[in-house]
Order: sequence, then structure tokens, then C-alpha cells
Amino acid sequence: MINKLLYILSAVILLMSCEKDIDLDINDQTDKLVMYAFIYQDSALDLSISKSQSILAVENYALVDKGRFELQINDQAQGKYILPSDTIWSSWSEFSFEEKDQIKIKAFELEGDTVESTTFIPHRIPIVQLDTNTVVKNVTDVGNVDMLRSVIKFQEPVNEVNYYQLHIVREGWGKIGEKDYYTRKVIDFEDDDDVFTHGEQSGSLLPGIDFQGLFTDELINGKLYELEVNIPRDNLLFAFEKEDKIKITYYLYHHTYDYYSYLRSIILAGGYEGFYRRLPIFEPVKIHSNVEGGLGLVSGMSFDSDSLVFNK
Amino acid sequence: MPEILNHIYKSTIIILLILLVNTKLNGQNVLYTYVQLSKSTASTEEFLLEIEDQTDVIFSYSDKLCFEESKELPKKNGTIKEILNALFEGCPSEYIVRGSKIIIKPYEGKPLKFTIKGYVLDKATKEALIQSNIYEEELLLGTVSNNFGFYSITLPQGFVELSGSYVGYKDLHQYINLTKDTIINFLMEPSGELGEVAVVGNRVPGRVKSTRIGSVDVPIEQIKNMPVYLGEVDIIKSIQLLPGVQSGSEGFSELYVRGGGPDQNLILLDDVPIYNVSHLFGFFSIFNADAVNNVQIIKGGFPARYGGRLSSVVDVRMYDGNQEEHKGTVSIGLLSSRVAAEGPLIKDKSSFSVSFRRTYFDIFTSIWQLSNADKSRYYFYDFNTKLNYKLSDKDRLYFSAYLGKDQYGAQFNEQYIDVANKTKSSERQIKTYDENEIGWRNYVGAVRWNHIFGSKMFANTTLTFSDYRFFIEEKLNYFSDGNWSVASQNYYSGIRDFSAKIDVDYVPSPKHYIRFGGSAIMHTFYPGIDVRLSGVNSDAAPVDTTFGGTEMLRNEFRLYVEDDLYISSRLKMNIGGHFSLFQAENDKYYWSAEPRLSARYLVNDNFSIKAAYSHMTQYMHLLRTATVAMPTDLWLPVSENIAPMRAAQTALGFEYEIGKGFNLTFEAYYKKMYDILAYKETAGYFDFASDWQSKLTSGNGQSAGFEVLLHRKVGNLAGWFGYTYAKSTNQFDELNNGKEFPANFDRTHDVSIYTSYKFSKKTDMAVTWTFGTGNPITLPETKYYSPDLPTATKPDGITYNQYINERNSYRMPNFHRLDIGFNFRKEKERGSRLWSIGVMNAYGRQNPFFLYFSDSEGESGDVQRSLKQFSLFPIPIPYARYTINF
Repeated sequence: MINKLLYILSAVILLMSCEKDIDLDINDQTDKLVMYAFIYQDSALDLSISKSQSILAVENYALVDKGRFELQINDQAQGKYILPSDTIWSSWSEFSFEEKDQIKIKAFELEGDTVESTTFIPHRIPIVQLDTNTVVKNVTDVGNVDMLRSVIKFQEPVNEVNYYQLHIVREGWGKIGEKDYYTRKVIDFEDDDDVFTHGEQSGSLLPGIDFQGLFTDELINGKLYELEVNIPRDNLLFAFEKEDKIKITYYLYHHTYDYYSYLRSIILAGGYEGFYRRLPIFEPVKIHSNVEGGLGLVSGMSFDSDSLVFNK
Repeated sequence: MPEILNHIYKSTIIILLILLVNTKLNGQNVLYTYVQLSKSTASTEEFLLEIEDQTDVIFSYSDKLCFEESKELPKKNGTIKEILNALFEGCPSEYIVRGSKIIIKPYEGKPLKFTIKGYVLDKATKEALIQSNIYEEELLLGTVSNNFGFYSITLPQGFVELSGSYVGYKDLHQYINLTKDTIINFLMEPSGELGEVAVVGNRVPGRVKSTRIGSVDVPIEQIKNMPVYLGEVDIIKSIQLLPGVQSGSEGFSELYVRGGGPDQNLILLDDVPIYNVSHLFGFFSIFNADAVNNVQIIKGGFPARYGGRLSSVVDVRMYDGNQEEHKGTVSIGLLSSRVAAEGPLIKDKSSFSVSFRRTYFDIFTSIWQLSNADKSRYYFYDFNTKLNYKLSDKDRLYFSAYLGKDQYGAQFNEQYIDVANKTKSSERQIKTYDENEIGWRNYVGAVRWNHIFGSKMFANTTLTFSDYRFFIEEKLNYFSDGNWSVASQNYYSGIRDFSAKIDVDYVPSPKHYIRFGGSAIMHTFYPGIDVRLSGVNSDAAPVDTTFGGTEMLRNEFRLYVEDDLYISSRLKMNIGGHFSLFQAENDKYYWSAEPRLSARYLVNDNFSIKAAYSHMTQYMHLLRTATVAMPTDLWLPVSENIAPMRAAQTALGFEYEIGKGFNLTFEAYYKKMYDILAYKETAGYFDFASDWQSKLTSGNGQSAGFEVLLHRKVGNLAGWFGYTYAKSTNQFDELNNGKEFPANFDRTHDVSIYTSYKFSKKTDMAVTWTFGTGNPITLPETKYYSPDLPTATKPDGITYNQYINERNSYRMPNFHRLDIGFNFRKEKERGSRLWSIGVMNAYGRQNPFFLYFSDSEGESGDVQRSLKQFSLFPIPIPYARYTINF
């Protein structure tokens, strides 16, 4: 509904408006090193190093010609490594990580900038129990909808500030003719649970931005909590006629503050599917970064999962 | 006639006229006969004899008078009364006039004083003239009428000349032998500016000039004459042309005053605060000029009677209604039409004023959409009314109301549904639509009781109601398996106030004008409520569910006292204090005690120096959706975590009265604001996953600058020139890495020129030209790689992240615009008609509304990226309006 309001405003503005190029001296910022790494336990290190570009450049990033990086795990130096110059991502299987590891990555360009970031791998929060049943819910603009109500029970640790994300993935297997068929899709769910929306101005006719299942322990700190979500039937069974089996997996991610903040900030910056950028009457959102001397994000994460399997 | 004879003839006529006028004055009282003495030093007796020689006056006096052998007078000319006052300065005396004989005798004991009170009213309509000057010219004592036209002044017994003055009206002089408390109503006549001679009368003595600094009264006629978008007279847009007031984005009815935000303005309609003054997303304001009598804006030096906002007070007063005859107005414009009527209900007892304005977008769109299944419509309206009833000479009752609404509606998803006809055991087919409505509205009402206690005290007791709502309503039909049901869902947010207040004016002597009062306000904030009603037509009982946010009840109490007092003949001060108490959640109270001080030192009758210092506190703030006004903007109170915003402002300036209604003012100010609010850099309005308090951060702001205003309110050539130099900055620990940055809509230079010229009674022209330094804007300077995240999908179209180095570090191109309007009047058998035509943005300046980066393909096929400017009104926009007054 709020989209309608914004589009009315856009229509009013567009009816009367025009646009033209203008010259404005944009400050020349030295290109910054940009580093990304998302680190799981028992997993290799995938590292991305690139360089930022002027906002007026057509390319979104530049490659780093002579890049190097150093890694420390729990204050133990793991050596210095040369980064490839023809790609921004590189995979380093010689490293492996454990829960609660403290990780420090320092990257630099020869005769250039140096950036550094530290993170840790949060401990896994186990899903104690997963219960489901079918319900009928009245949904705005749609009417009565069959839904799969899912209750994910977990023990929220006391005396910690924790950041979570509930991620639900649907996989389907079957055959189309003689060919094996497989599909994997992240599915949308109704995030009515208080942990997702506890803003006082929230309302179903004025929906907020979808933060893709992110939440904090602010309301549930130290509780054995039953997180309740509803998945519309159509989101689960959209291609069931050609499938023999589907599997719904519930991932409970335990994130760092940095990952949580970065994800929130890019979702906010994008606004309603990029609406904010197309109609810049909103204050720009600053993208979170935990890379000192540069930009980007280095973060560990862990997850626990439970799943349901439906066979035809 | 030969030229010389012609000259003699004209001179004779003029002399005769002067003599006639002079005779008229003398006819009032010989004390006011003008004399020119031959010397300034002589004995008292010699002076009296010389006056007798020059005039027909004969003096009779007591031997108890103080006669001096040698007396030096400050000046050799003046009225007899002035000379006598100077002669007997050491021993106050009274003068009794018997024909041409003046009896002078010393006061026995303390001279008696009596009070004159009454109302200052328009002679033709009996409409109150607010802030008119009432003064005794010789004693140089005066007062001003209050918001109801009431005045009270206490003067020594004897002959006094009491004058009334109001811009655009002829001065009125009343000669009174004051021997007891007296009621005198000033019935003022409009001057009819043509020819201008009529307005050159006595000037308001400088001593009665106000202590106020930072306040401007804009005559409603000047507002009505301005060129306006689509012919819609807009009070708020007129105020935007005053120095110290910025408009924000072009075309919007927002006010940014001396570095403050749009929620820091207390906008009052007949004493009732209005929380959203916007129509059509802020392109127009809600005030219908047909209903408005007086507009005053205060930017600094706030009198103690006002409180609750940091940056300004916009005090709008509605017409009471013509008490003499019935009048009406019909006005047809491109966007809307207006009707207004006023007149007496009971002769000399009661009158009314009513006006209504409505747009007709929806009428046009309904015609275009006749054959469409889906339909949409938009309209807004305003309804103002005011009734007053005179209970007695001391009691008057007022009722005023404003109802205004914007509404967009859509009708879609047309369906034909077979339903059972229970009486005929058959089926019938009905057509259904799904519908939704979005809108916002203000309902405002006030009941006021004026009572005059004795002759020196005026009390105004008010009960007010103000209700602002933003709403979304949706009704959907469901039809499955032969069952038809309807579900509706409403969302609303807003604020509702009930308040009771009393304001007392007490004028114990001409040297004091004391105001005191208090108020209690019960606020109910609605931060977002959902109401669902489902199953209307199904067999099941409707289910009514209310959920979402909770209502927040907050009480606010205010007390104030102020005195407008003369410290000396040249120094006048307004000293006051404002105390407030606000109940936040969990019985937590915030309070503030705010000193208010303003002073005026009179250098001479035309020139005064003014200074002011004031503290302000604000207990509620607007959670904004975007950088422009949106109906979704949400008023919220302070809380345990959100402290009240506070401001301290110092101002210094001078005022030079060039002529009646023609002033030059200069003001320099410094304002410091504390605990002002902004969104965190990683939060936004639509982030409902966070509690609203956690999305905000508080910081400080400051604004300094100077303003020049050359304002001519009367004459055929009227208008103003305003210039502002200002620098407004903010500092938040959590924004811009803690570094100071320019405040939103900070404008270094701002120029506004408004000129109206009356060619004849039939034709006048108005021109406005505005210039402003470009508004600050935050632009990203670099972009960088944005990877796919392992646990998320990126919003569509987002392929890179933007890096913002500094907040508001760039400026949009400068803003300037010329608007021209003409008014053509014609007297008709019954009333008059008026054609208003004009053009906005006459030379088609493309002013920036916002800036953005865009990719485009060059001539050689390569992609180029550039910064683009988006202009809202890039071409000249004509307007026309037809008005009939009867």
C-alpha cells in the first residue's frame, strides 16, 4: 500500500517535471581497497579484494594488480599470500576454521593501501525442535490463504547480544522427461513474529522493508524461544506437479553484528526494490563496513538447520 | 484661467482646507492650539502672557502654582498643553477649559487616573483589528489591541487625545475629557490607498512601538495579491518569502526557520495547533485565505505566552464575520473553487463566517473513466467556520472550526457475484468492487469565552480539539464455493489533542501590560493502528481485530507570565517566563523553565534598537518519511530514551520607521539547539524491524545569521525586500563520523522581493522574485563491488554499493524564480468581480528538486555516467482565477 502512495507522489512529480545534466565537481576520492570474506566453520576461506571507482565511472569496481594478504587465526599468523590479479574472488582451501575462532585479515596492494579487518565465527545455536501444521490466514489483497505454520524452538543464550537470521530454502527433485530435475529456492514467509517487527508504527497496510529474516535477541534474550513463521502454500508447492520430492530446510543463522548491520544497510539502501535510488527524496543510507582503511565486510557465521521432506 | 490666477486659486483652496482642518482640531480643545514662542528662556508669567497675546486664550490660575523667575523650555513651539506641561513640570497641574479660558490649578494630592477600554474594529464589518496601536500622543503612552481587538489604557484625568492606528486604515483621533473610566470603541476606516495622501497622518509614536523582535505581520491583502501556483492563494508560501524562512524543496509548503526543521514550527489556527498543514503532498497549504483575518510569524524573541516548538510560531486568526451586512465570495480557479459567506446572525449580537474550498480533479477523472472498470479519484477540501455571540458588553463567545481532508481513492477488481435472494428463493447478480482509500485530514475546533474583568483585565478561556489522521482503508470481496465475504482493513496514524487554556491580559497602568495564563493538553498519539473487519457478508459474525501500535496518552501542562513594561521613556522590555511539564511514559516527567526577554531602546521616534533572548523546549517531534513532506510523517512524543529538544536564541537588531507602514528592520541572531533528532545513517522510516526510538540519534545544531527586511505595507507601491545571510550546522556523534555538517536546507544567501503596484482601483500587479543558494545535498563519491551474500538476495537493480564520504557536503545549483500576477477588478451592480491571472516561473528557470546519477549511451555507443538534475516546475506555469464578491 505504501508503494501506491509513493507512486502517486512520483506520478504527481513526473507530470510536472523535467531533467537535465548538470556539472558539479565531485571530490576525487582515491580508490579504496574493498575486501569481503564470509567465513564458516569447517570451510575454506573465500576472499574478495577489489578497488572502488569514482561514482561517475561506468565500471562498478577495479581489479587489484598486485594484491597480497595475511591471515591470523586466534592470533596465530598463517602466512602471507599473493592474490590473483585477474579476478576479485579467490578460494584458499588450506585454511579451516572452527567455531569461535578469532580471525584477522590484512590485505594490501604493493606500493598501495593496506586494509585490515577482524571478525570471529559465532557459535552455533541449535534448533531444539521444529513443529509444523497447516492454517488458513487472511492476507491483505489476497484473501484466505493456506499456510504452513512452522515453529522453530531454540535456546537463546543469556548474557550475550546475538544477531540471527532465519533462512528457509526449498529444494525440489523430480524428472522432466528423462532428465533429472532439481531446483533450489529461498522462499518468502510471513514474518509476523514479534522478533521481526516490534516497531510501534508497523501495520499490515503500511508494510516495512523486508529484512529477509534478520532479527536480534532484544526481545528474547535468554529465553527458550519458539519462533513462529507462516509459509504460504503456493510458496512451497509452486512446482510440485513435476516433482517427486521437496525438502524445506530451516536455517537458523547466528551472525556477527557486522554481518547483520551490513545486510540491513544494503537492504535499506536499496529500499523498495531500488525505489529509494530511483526517487532520491530519502536520505542516503550509509553502508556498514568493518574494514579499516577501506570498505567491505569480513564476517564469520554459523548455522543450524532442520528440514521437512514431502514425497509425492 | 491665467496660470497665476490658477495658482492663487489652488493655493487659496489649500489654505482654506488647512484652516478648516486646523479649526476642526482647535474646535476639539484650545489646549491643542499650536503656538510659536519668541524665546525659550523667560519667567513663567511672561510665557503665559505671550501665549495669550498669540491666541485668544485667557489663563486663570491659582497662586499656589509654581511660578519661576527664569524658566528654560526644551523647545519654543508646540501645543499650549505641551508648553504648559513644560512650564509646570516641577509641580504637576491640571487644566480645565471653559470656552477660550484655561484654568490652571495644581493637583491636590496624587493626580487621578482613569482607564479607557474598548475594541478596535473595522468600521464597515466590525471585524477585530489585531495588534492595532492605541496611544496618547502627547504623553507618548500607548498599547496594542489583542487578538480579539480589545485594548485597555490607563491615563491621567483631564483632556487627552487618544489615537488609533492600524496599517491600511486612516488614523482615528478621539478627544476626551477623562473624568472616569470610559469605554471607547475605535471604528477604523480603510484608507483606500489610491493617491496615498489619505494615509499621511500622524505617525504612531515610536514609544508605542513593540518590543518584539523577529516577528513579522503580513497583511492578508498582500498575501492575497501574490502570484500563486494554479491560482491557489497560499499563506505558508507567502511566509516562505520572508527573511529567515526557507521553503525547503521548491513548490512545497514547508517552513525551515533559522536552521530549524519543519516540525519545529507551532502553527496555530485560532489558538489550535495544526499538525499537518499540507494538501496534495505539501504542494499547497490548508489555509483558505478567504477565512483568514491576520497572520503573524515569530522567528525569535518569543513572548512567554508561546511555547512548545523551537523555531517559530505562525499565528493565523480567522475572520469573526461581518457584523453589519451579509457578504459573499465565489471564486473559481484551475485547481479548486471557493465559496465564502459572512454576516450578522443577530444584529449587534452575533455574526458568522463560513468558507469552503474543494478541488475538482475527481470530477474530471470520473468523466474520463466513465467506461473504465477501474476508477481512481483524488480531492481535497477545507471548511472553515466561525460564530460569535455577544453575551453582554463584557462577555463574548466564539466557536470556530476547521475541517480539511485529502483523499485518494481507487476502485478496482470489478466482479459480478450471484447471491441468494432469500425472499424469492432465487439468485440475483450484484456488481462488486474492491476499493482502497488513502488520505489524511485535520479536524479542529475551539470554543472561546472572552470576559472583561473591570476595565483592566481581559480573559480568554478556550477549549480546543485537534485531530490529525493519516489513513489507509481497504475493502476486498472474496467469492469462493458460493460464499461471498467482504473483508476490510484500516490503518491509521495521527495525533489527537484536547486542551483547556486561559489567557489573561492585565493592564494595570500604561507602563505595564501583563499577560499570564496556563493550559493543560491531553495528547493521544496514534503511531500506527490496524483495524481488521472480516466476514461482513458471510454467515460468520464479523471479526473486529485491532492490533499494531498502541495509543500513547501524554499530558502536557503550561504556565506563563510576561510583562511588557516601560523601564524609562526610551527603554521598554518584555520580561517573562514559560514553565512546562510533559508526562512521558512510565510516569516520567520532563519539565522546563524558559526565560523570555526582549527589549527595545528608542533612539528617536523612528529608530529603535532591539534585543531578545529566549529559551524554547519541544516535547514532540516528527518522524519523517522522506526529505519532503509526506502524510506518513509521524508525530511522536519524547520518551525515556528520547529527551526533549531545546533551543536558546539571542537576537539583536534595529528598526527604522521610514513612514507609516514602511519599515526597515535588521536582525542578527544566534540560535543553539540541543537534542535535535535525526535518523541514524543505517536506519530509515520504513525500517519497522527496529523500534522507532532505536532508529533515531540526537545531536546539536546551531544557526547564525542576519536578516534585512524592507517592508512597505501601504500605498500603491507596496511589498518587501528581504535578504538573509545564514549558516546552519548540525553535529551528531553518530552521524558524519561526529563531524559538523550543514543542516538540511541551510541557505547561505536568500533574497526575496515582493512588489505590488496598484495602477488604479481596477488594476494591480504583483511580482515576486526569489533567489537562494543551493540546498545542501549528500552525494556518494565512490562506488564499489557489492557481492551476493550467502544468506540474502540483493534488491533488484543493485549491482554496487555507494560510499558517502560526508553528509550534506555538496550544494545543488542556486535557486531563483520570477512569478508575475495581475488582478483586474470591476465594480458591479452588486459587489465586484476579480480576474487574477499570472505566470509562475516566468522565465522558465529549471531549479533543482533533487540530483541523481544516471547511465546513458553516448553517440558512439559507449555508456556514459553523469549527474542529472530533476526539476519540478521547469517551464512557465500560467494560472487564472475568477472571483465574485457580493
